[in-house]
Amino acid sequence: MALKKFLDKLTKPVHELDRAALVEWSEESRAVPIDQIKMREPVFIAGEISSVRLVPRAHSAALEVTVKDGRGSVTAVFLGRRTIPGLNTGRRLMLEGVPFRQNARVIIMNPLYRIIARGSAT
Amino acid sequence: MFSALKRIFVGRPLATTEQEHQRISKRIALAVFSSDAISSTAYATEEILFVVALGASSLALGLNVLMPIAIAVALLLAIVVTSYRQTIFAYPSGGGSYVVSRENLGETPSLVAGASLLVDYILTVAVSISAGVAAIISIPQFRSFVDQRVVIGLGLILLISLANLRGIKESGRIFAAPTYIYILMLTALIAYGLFQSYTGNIGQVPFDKEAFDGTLETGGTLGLFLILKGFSSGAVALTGVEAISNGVPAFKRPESKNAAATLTWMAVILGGLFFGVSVLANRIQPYPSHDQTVFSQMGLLVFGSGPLYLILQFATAAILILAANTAYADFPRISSIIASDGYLPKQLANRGDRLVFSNGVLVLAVAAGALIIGFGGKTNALIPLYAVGVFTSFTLSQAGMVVHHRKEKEPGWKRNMVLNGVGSFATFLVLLIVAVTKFSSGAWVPIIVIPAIIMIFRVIHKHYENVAVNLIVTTDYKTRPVNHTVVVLVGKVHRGVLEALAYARSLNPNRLIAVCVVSDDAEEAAVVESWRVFDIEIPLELVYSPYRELAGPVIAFIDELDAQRDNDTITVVIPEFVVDSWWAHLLHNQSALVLKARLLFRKGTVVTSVPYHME
Repeated sequence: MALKKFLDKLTKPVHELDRAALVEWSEESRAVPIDQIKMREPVFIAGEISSVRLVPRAHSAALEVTVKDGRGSVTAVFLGRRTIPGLNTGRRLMLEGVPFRQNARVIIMNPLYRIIARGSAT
Repeated sequence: MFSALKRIFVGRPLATTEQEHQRISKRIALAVFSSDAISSTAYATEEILFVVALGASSLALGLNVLMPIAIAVALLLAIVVTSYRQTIFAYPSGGGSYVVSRENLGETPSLVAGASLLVDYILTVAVSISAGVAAIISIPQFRSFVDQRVVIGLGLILLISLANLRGIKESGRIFAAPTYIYILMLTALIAYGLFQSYTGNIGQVPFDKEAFDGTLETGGTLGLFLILKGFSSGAVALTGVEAISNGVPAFKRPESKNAAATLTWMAVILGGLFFGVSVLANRIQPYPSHDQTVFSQMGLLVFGSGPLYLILQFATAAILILAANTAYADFPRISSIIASDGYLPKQLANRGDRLVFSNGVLVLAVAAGALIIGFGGKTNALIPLYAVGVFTSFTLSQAGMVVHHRKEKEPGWKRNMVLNGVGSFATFLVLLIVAVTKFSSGAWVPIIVIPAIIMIFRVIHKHYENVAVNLIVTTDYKTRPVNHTVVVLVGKVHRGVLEALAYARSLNPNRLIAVCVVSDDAEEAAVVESWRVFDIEIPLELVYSPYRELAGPVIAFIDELDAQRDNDTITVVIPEFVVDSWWAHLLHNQSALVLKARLLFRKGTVVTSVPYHME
């Protein structure tokens, strides 16, 4: 097994290895895998911020944060906020809220969030 | 720089309207169209000797069969020419083997004819040039160049290619001179040589065992196989006979009648010269050698090393170079016809800016050059490859004529059909003889290459057909509604980025998003800050790139955007610097270039570069 892991490290693409690590961490956090969450029911997920969308000033304030856990992605929308300190790309965080589907996106409005400090999680 | 060089060597571009059609008289046509055929007398006799001269002791034995072979070749020539006269009358607009087979025999035979012709024109150039070089280096004063024959040959190909890229009128008067000088000199050599020989003033060519390069089975017997093989070598004299039937439209009116008369004259001259050379060779016994041509040996003996000999050698070289030049007229033309039928890349069907089929000229030059390098510039090594293609196209063209007569049923069609039938049968027989007797010494090359070319033809044709089917517009065809998403790639905020954002806004897309790839918090904060400071009215997506690369995360992001809607067309707008020196380009836009290359093949994606010109 150890040998297989070592070989994987050498042969698999890095983003694949990163994804596996993220899945592992998310499972340790006892979060629900994003591809298994049910709509309109409270859920707890853990993942990494892959992108952040800033809305221009003329529009009503909102911050869209896309979180991936290696199995799917959820967009957390924070109404009334333009930026939230600490919600930067590449940061890991845990979210609690009620997801719903819009177009092909899964959205959670104003979730509870917990930012995981860099280096502490892995 | 490049354009200045091109202007010097190739000349200024010519407009389509500057194309002119010049009609030429029989006298000039004979020189222009028959240089290829008549020039083959310069090497055909020698090639027969290479095969039948069995070692030094029985050289005379080989010379004895020279006469029967010459007679057989002359007979074959008569049959082929009689047959081709029919083609000239049936196809006054130019009836090459490809056209005749396409119209009468169908697709596959026409492709065989086309591939054979292409192979043969390439070989015409390679063989003629190497024989021309051989004529020059046979002159005692130029002996020192013997080892440079490949280089000289390549140089000549370069010159002819340049001349043809410029575009030369093949109907020009200057082309008539070398042909007539050659005919004259060769007639003089034969007549004077025979006279001298019979009066006993000259003996035989002194034999040089060192230079002898015949078949080295000393004292072997001359079997039927070798005689047939010698005949195959002699049959190369027929190459180029079809040139007149291709060029009928260039003759003065009445075209067909003039062309047929010219063809007959050419056959008489070619047959006469070939036969004459064989008779003379039989008398004075030259020997086959890579260092000195048979012509040169006979010329030295008959004329001495004076000016007459030099004129003979240079006229020989000149007519051989002209023969190569006719291939330069024919190869691009036939490849353009094949290309416009969709069997070769369309580029070959386009005339360049000098109104010549430039791409065809280049292909021919490269292929012929490769052959000369590959075979060390030796005519003797190239000859076995030759003739397979010629006789394949002869056979198909004559067979096509048989079908033509059956269809047309013109007055006297039965007689004409028999003539073409005999022609077709005779050339097919020769084709078999050539293929069998020379298979091991090189004829296998065209036997493999020609089918390979046909396969390429078919693959290309299939592709073009597929494209045509895909692009066809039916009357009920409606374009799909477009959901337009525009993504602007942003790095640091600078003038170029602001211009690109303004441009993107002017496209009025359904969705407009600026994307910035970030890999650490400081970078992210800087972009967010400048977005706030400049108060940009476009949503900004910050995409995380753990390994600081650009293309991967951007493409992943675009994939996600794409998945959110149907019928999405995504335009990726990339701001680019335009700098005025080439080296400064190396300093910019490198990662954008990689991204562009990867997006080029993405479905439903438009990549737009918005240039920002440096002051």
